[in-house]
Amino acid sequence: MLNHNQNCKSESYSVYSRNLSASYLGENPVLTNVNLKIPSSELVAIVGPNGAGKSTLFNLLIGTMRPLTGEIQIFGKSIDYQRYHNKIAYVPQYEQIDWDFPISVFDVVLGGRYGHMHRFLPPAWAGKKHTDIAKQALDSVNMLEFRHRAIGALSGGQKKRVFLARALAQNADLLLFDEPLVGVDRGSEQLIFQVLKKLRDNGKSIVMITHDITSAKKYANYVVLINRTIIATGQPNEVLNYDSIQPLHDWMFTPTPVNTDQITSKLITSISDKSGGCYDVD
Amino acid sequence: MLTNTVASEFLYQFGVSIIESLLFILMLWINLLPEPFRDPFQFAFMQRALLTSMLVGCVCGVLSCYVVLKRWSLLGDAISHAVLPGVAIAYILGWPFFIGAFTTGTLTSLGIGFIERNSRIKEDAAMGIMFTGSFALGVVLISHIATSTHLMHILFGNVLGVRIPALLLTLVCSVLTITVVLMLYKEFQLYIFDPIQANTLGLNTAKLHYGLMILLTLTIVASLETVGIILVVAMLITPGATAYLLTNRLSKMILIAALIGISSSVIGLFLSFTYNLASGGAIVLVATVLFFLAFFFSPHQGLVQRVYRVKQRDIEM
Repeated sequence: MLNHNQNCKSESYSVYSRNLSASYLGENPVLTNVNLKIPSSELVAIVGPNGAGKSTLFNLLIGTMRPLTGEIQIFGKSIDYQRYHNKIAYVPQYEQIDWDFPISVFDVVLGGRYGHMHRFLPPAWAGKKHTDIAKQALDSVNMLEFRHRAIGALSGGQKKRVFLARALAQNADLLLFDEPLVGVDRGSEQLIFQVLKKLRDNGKSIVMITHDITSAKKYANYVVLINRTIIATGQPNEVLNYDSIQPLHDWMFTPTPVNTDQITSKLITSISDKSGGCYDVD
Repeated sequence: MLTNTVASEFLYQFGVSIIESLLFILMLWINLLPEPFRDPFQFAFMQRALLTSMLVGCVCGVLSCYVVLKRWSLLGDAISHAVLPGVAIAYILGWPFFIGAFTTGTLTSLGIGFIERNSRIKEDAAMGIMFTGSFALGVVLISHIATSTHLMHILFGNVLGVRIPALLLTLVCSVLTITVVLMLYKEFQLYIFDPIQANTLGLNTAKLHYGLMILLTLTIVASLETVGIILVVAMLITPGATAYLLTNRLSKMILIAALIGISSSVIGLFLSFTYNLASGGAIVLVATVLFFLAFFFSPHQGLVQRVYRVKQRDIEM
């Protein structure tokens, strides 16, 4: 258990985890010994190759999956506590949504306000306060004029922007973004990161999961490199240098199977040589 | 004990007076219709049948939207079949049949989840096993205790023979279901559209899941006497599917599905009386015809409109 002193300290981290591991029913752990101390009010990218446990970590952070061992704290409190207080927002991946669902763009964004509304009243009686916030959120991603459209009628980038607006409307402190750039055009990409940077400047914490190293380097100001455990954390320039990216890159784009253990050890040595075993933030 | 009986007697009389006033209001409208449509409803049994089938059509229509969107068609099928042994057991023990129906319906839906979680068998096979199993149990029990006419009535419904207690049950189940759906509208919408978001907002998705399942069971129990076990599945899918082709809003979809459910019940009942047809079958056939009308002629999703649009594009090119 944490003592009181550490407990106070963990509040200054958006995500704090100790000895975290996770596995799917009856299988080998996907993540082991994950110790995270992600500072708050940063735009954080969690980067790793396919099968590195990125999505698992994401599921642990939203709370749809429970850890096998260890614990996670969001701003020093449990995930359940923060979820109940609407402090965690998330932007889903494209495949998770049924795009034929009969719902308008505006109603999707209003979904971000549901946690703030009265439990047993239909959203039509939500009141002007909530609809105004939803409209503002739509406006900030330039989607206000589309608000009466069906969600399925939009392009990939527009859909992402609508879900970003939903997260904005929720007014959460931690925003989780799963693969923000998959299926998104250039214009939307720029707009999305403009919005994210503005959020960060307003003191919100953003954690995005991506396999795209270029965009992580370009937009994030804090990077967590994972491959079944934390490999490195820190500034993008330190973590995502040529030596560390190269083995990852080979791995991601090599069509033939490679000896993963070898690469992992190579990766770990190459990074620890540079930063002296950087497993920790501070 | 005595006060208990007095209280339940009072509640029953209260329900009966509500039904009587509803029937009265209904007849005010019916009497505005031209004579050939008005005539069948001069009989008391036809009035009761009309009210019952309108309630069932409405509540099935509302629930069918969720069934269609959640892809629970097979689950609706499973629960409706699983209700049968409950009816038989309740009959043997002398209980009100809805208690038995509700119990076995719920147990089966829980059993499906249990098998799915604890073996490599997937959901569809688990449903197939559980519902055929309990349906078979029901058939065996009923064939042992009652005549085949009883079995036929439970399987296919006999809305023309509905009596006041059954009508009261339907009324209570329908009002309960519709109230819960209205109160939890946004929760169910979010849960079906994006369960993870529902989860991150701190909603209890397991409770919503089982809540929806219980509503489904309640609806099936409520519709048992009208369209019967087998045809209630159709009423739990077709109106929602029809409305799905006509709109892009969940609220409108629910409204349209309820209207389709009500109108197919009324039209089906009328046809059943006029041409001496099985009432459950007639109601479902009307709903099916309405579906195909929407399938071909819906303004956005309809087949005719789509073909027309492709033709137009070809001409332009």
